Amino acid sequence: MSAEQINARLKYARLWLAERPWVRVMLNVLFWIAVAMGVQQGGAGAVGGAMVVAALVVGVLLAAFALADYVNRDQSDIGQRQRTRNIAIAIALGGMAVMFYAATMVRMGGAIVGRPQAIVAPVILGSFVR
Amino acid sequence: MAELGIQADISGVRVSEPSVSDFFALMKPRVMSLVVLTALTGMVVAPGSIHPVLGFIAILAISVGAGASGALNMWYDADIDAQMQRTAARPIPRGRVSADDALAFGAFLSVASVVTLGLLVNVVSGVLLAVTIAFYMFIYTMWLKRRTPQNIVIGGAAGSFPPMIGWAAVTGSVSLDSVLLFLIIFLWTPPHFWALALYRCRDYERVGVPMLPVVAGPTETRRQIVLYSLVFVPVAIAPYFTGLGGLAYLAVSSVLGLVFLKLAFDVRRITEGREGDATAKKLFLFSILYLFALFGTLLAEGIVYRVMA
Repeated sequence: MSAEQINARLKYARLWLAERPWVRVMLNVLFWIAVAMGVQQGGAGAVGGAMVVAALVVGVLLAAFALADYVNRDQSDIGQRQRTRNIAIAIALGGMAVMFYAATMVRMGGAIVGRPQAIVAPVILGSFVR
Repeated sequence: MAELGIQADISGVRVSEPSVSDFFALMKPRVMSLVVLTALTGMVVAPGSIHPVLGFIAILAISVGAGASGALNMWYDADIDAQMQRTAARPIPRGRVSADDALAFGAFLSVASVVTLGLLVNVVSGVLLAVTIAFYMFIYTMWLKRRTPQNIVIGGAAGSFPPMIGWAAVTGSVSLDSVLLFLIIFLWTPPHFWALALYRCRDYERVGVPMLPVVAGPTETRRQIVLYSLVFVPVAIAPYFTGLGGLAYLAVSSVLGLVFLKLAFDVRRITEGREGDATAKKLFLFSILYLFALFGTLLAEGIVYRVMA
């Protein structure tokens, strides 16, 4: 397949996806469910193996869509400004998450991550039972 | 109604795609730098200590809160900004950012900065930041600015809060020393802005903002500048006598204070033509330097004291 053909198919994929935004959302949900279940099973057994394969397949699909977005990105001045703004917002949100994490560690101490699950789980369950 | 005129007056302006730097300009970065300095000084000279991470978060939240109120101010004043030489290049009058985007940006940052400071540092500093933003937006910008020549006298309180918030971030309370830091900026504001208003008088007159030179005339404004300066300079020196500042602070505040007074009296003396404007401009620029020097010296002394202790 020539570069033009690949480019044309990516462009088509992007247009197809643009009309069906729910596809990307569903694939993202599927991907993370597969990852979570695969990790839970340790990648072993039929379910674990299937989940790893599913995560890989969906992951490749999502990467292809991302590539299609990148190839067909808006390269005008407006697109450039939008991208820079998106990056700035992402950095600000990421920074905020890190800031809240760091402040929690400072205020409550590192011991918060080492709390015994055996005690926490019955307490949480107990509150539902009551 | 003037408020309703905002959207109408700037609706004809074509809004292009805003960039990150346009939003940054909405936050009045030069004012933010002064806020960072004064808040940091309040934190360093306050008794007690704060974890560096929480200290950094406090400074960040205070400066973002100040920037948010700047954005809200630009949203509300977009109509008069467009007609004033000094402010015509701001992002909204130039059509770089829409008024709605500026409002959303300012409102979001206001809430985010107050919640962050209140939750991660302490409630007192969070409440003080909320009061500062509300005071600047509702009391100064919406109520006083277009109604009374006392606008910057009372409204100046909003700009005076940052060192008090910095202090509260460390101690969780407000004390007389922090009120003194508040007073320094509060009394500095009128001579600073009236000096600006003297040589930008026509701008304010055209848009109907009742600054003192517009309402009471330049002679009365020059008299008020001298009076406020006579009260301000001793208050600026006072931190030495309360133990907040050391000998370096006494030297800097006294020497620069005398220069400030000389410039204020020059403004009173030289009233005519370009020379009169130049003297007022000199006082305006020097007042910025003076405030930076006062808080910079307090900060440096505080850091040295902490390192030596």
